[in-house]
Parts: sequence; C-alpha cells; structure tokens
Amino acid sequence: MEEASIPAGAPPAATEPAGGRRNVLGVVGLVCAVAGAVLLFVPNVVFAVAALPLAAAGLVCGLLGAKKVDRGELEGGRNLALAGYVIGALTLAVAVLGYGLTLFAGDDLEIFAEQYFDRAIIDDNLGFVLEGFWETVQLSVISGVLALTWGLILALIRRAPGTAMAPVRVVTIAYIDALRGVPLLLVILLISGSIPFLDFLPEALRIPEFLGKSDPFWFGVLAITLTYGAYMAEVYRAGIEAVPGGQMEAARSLGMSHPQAMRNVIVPQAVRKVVPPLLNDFIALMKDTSLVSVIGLIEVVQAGRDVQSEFFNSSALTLGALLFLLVTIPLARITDRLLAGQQARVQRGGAGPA
Amino acid sequence: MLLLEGVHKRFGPLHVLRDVNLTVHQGSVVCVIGPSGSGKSTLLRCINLLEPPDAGRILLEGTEITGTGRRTNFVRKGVGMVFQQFNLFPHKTALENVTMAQQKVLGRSAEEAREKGEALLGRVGLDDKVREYPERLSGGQQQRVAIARALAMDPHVMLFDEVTSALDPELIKEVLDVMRELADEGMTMVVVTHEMGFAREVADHVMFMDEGAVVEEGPPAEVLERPREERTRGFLGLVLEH
Repeated sequence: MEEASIPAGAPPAATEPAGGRRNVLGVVGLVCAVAGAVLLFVPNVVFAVAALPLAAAGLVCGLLGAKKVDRGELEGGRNLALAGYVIGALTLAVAVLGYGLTLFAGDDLEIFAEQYFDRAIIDDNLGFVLEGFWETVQLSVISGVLALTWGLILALIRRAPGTAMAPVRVVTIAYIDALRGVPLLLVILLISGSIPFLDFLPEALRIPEFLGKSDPFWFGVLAITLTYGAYMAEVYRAGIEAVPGGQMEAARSLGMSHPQAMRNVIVPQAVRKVVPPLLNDFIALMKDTSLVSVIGLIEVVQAGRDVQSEFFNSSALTLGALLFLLVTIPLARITDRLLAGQQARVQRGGAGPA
Repeated sequence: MLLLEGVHKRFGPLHVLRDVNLTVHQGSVVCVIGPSGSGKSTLLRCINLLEPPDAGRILLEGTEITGTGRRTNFVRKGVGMVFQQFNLFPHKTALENVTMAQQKVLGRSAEEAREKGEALLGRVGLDDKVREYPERLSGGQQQRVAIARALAMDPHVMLFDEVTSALDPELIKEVLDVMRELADEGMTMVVVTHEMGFAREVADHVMFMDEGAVVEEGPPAEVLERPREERTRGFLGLVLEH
C-alpha cells in the first residue's frame, strides 16, 4: 500500500534524474539485492554464502541511496533505491532465519519443508492440480460475469420508480436480504441435492451438462450467481445512489424517460464508481468457488485434497494457494490503483470522465 | 405561450407555492426575483413537471399539461431547463452532452445531432471545446454547454434556475451575454435570478416572490425602480446594498 502511494506523492523528482547525477548508489543497491536474493535459492553452499554479503550490500546502498534523495543530495531513483533496500533486507532476514534453523533445528526444518514444499510431489501432480485450477478459473469467470449481470438487474429493479412498482421492489429487497444472509455452502447444497429430483423441470435443467461441463459445475454456477448477485446488487445500489440527483433531473428535463436516463446517464457513471468494490467481490467469489468441491467438482482445492489424502502431504495444496495468489494479488493491486485514482479525482474536485 | 393559473405546491406541511398566476407571451422574457426559499425554483420545477403542482393549471402552447394524464414528455421536449449546478453529464464530452438527447429522445441521426450540436456550441462560443470533458471546462463554459444542450431540443420556452449563482464573478458575464443574445433572438424565457442588472435590462416582465406568493409584478422599470410594496423595497435594498 505504501509503495503504491509513493509515485503519486513525489512524481517527477523520483523518475527523472534532473541535473545528470543519477542515483548510482540506488542502482548498485538494487542489483546487489536482487543478485543476493537469486543466489539464495541456488542449492549450493558457496552460492548461498555469497548471497549474504550481496544482500547486505544491497540493503546498505539502497537505504543510503534513498536517504540521499530525501536530503536532496541526489535527484531521482528513490524508488529503485528503496526497492534495493527492501529486497536486501528481506533476503538477509530469510537467509539468517534459514541458516539459523538449519543449524539448530535442521531435522525439524526438513520435516516441515517436506510437508509443505515437497518438489517431487508437486512435480508428479502438477498437471492434476493445474487442471483443477483451470476448472476454478472457468467457474469463477462464468459465475462472475453472470453475477455482475444479475446484480445490476436486481439493483435496477430495486430502483424502479413509481408507486405501482412497490411490490416488485419489496420482493427484490427480500431476495437480496435472504441471499446475503445465508451461507453459500447451504445454497450450493440446496440446489445440487434436490434440483435433480424436481421432475417437473426439463431434464436439461435437472442434470445440466452445457458446454461439456458436469452438473456440479453448473449447480455451482447457479448457487454462486444467485448469492453473489445479491452482494453485487448492493454494490451497484451504492454506486447509483452516489450519482448526484441533478443528473437524473437534467436527463429527465431533456425529455428522457426513466429507463433512458438510467441506461445513458446514471448507470454508466455508477458502474465507473463501483469497479473497485466489484473487483473485491470478484476476488471473494473466486475464493468461494472452492465450496463447490463439496458436491464433487474437482477444482483446485479438491485436487490438492486428493493429493493430500493419497500421500499424507500438503504440498499440492501449497501449490493451489500459490496459483490463487497468482490471480488474486494482481487483482487486489489493480483495485488499490483504481481506488487511489478515484480518491485523487475526488480531491481535485471533479467526477472525471474515466 | 406559457400560462399558469392558480398554481399551488406543498411539501408536507410547507406551502411552497400559493396561487401563482403567470402569463409568458411568445418571445418575452420574465425574470423572477425574491429571497431564497421564496419558491422561485419550485415554480420553474413545476413548469417542467419535475415537481407536479398540487393544484392549478399550466398550459403550454394552449395544451394543458397538468392534472390527470400529465403530458410529461410533451412538456419536457418543449421546455428547456438550465440548472444552477450545470448538471452536465461528466462521462460525456461537451458535444456528446448536446447530442445525446437529440438522438435518444427526438430520434435524430448521429450526423444531424452532431451538426446541430456543433452549431449550438459555436453559438455559445465554445467551438474549440467540443471534444472536452466537463471536468476540463470552467464553470462558465460548463454552463454555456448546458444552455446549448437545452437549446438542442428546440424548446418553446427556456427556464433558467439561478444559472449564475454557482459561478465566480468573472465568469458570470459570459453566461449572461449568451442569455442576452437568446432574448434578442426572440426566445421565450423564464429566468430566476439575483442579477438585477440583467433583469432591468433584458426582462419584459419582473415578478417578485416571497413566501411562495407573488408580491408584486410589472415592467422592470416599475418593479425595480419604483416598487410599491414594502417587502419588495426591503428585498431590493438588501440586494443592491452590496
């Protein structure tokens, strides 16, 4: 979070080395620190020992480089130097901790590493876990798109004007409250356990197998869409309410109907405002897809569990966690960036086109 | 022509408009003045049915627009409104602000709407700002876009709701100049304003309102120079003092 705010706080000075005095110290620090960090992971004692002084050099040079910028003795390169300092410090910490543990508790460390980071088990089951993750991704994207759409529809119905629409509004609010207040796991079980026995439904719905996907997959899609649609409806509602009332009045005074004004004026502005919270909901949705494993879908968590129960070892689950982070961390960073941008626009006093 | 007969409006216990009568002839300019909270803005909002009146009749070009079967869309196509806070659409460029309703409401082609939009933005002196977003325009420029946006619908009547009150002093003139030109060209206008100079110079008819009722009305020379009512004198004294 703090790194993200630095370029916004001190923009031109940090990137343009004015006056020609480049931050050599910072660059050296970063190079040393990165080299140290890489060497640390080479399984050879000589390299690993060489990593220590490199990381230390990176730490010192990086810190000095950054401080010199703060004192005005150097211009530019502050973020580079800072990166060198941070990487150097972390490498040093990991190395010292690693050496310490190896020296004093080498056997215990080995048992721990084998439980969570067993390369042989990861290599042997990589394909299986990746297949599971691909299933997770498909489930997330399909449910995510449907929930985004369903949520917007719910939010619009909830905002439908006029006394005559009151019953529809009440039903929508009741739906949103109900689905927000019930665990997703319970919804998944309600759907998968009994829809196949609802004889009055056509078979394609009781045992859905669209696009070559199994019925647990589609029951999962349905449960997640129904639940997350309710969450997202609330997010959209906040966005719609954040659009100033004058916008609707201006649109109506130009002769637009309520639906026209919503479609062309209110919703485009509302959606821009709620992209960051919707992304947050999508991250939560993606993590919650693991719940569909209880009705027999082999997504990434279930794949990891299968490996775990076969080998009494958690390394495949560690791999699953890393795969999740591969997607969710960038998404979280994007969300922060967007939020920071919106914040800056609010402080400048304009709603802004973007 | 716009005709108001015995218009009343209540917000709960508040009686905001009390028996307002007004005739606005084709091509004439009516300025409505009065202290804040006197019902001036509500009067404009009743005319284009943003707030439907509780009692009384409003006739636009001879058609009654109030009562059962309100003619909301007919009214809003025929009545242009400009707001104190501009209310431009921030996600659209100046030109798109002016073309959107032409296409969506009047069904004009994109080409037709663009030509009309560019012509109108030129007329309010913004030829070079056509592709700018509102964020990048000054308050005066935004308000002129808002005027062009309303004019694009070819309204019979234009309503101006304190359109210079949110502007810095040096930006007021450019907006008033546009309104002056409109009046000279024969646009029918109802203008709620605190700009007494504008009212004196441009209005055919001035109406002073207080506490929801019309206190005094007549030609600007009479109402503004020789007010008969004590309350009008008091208000003008306060306004002209500073």
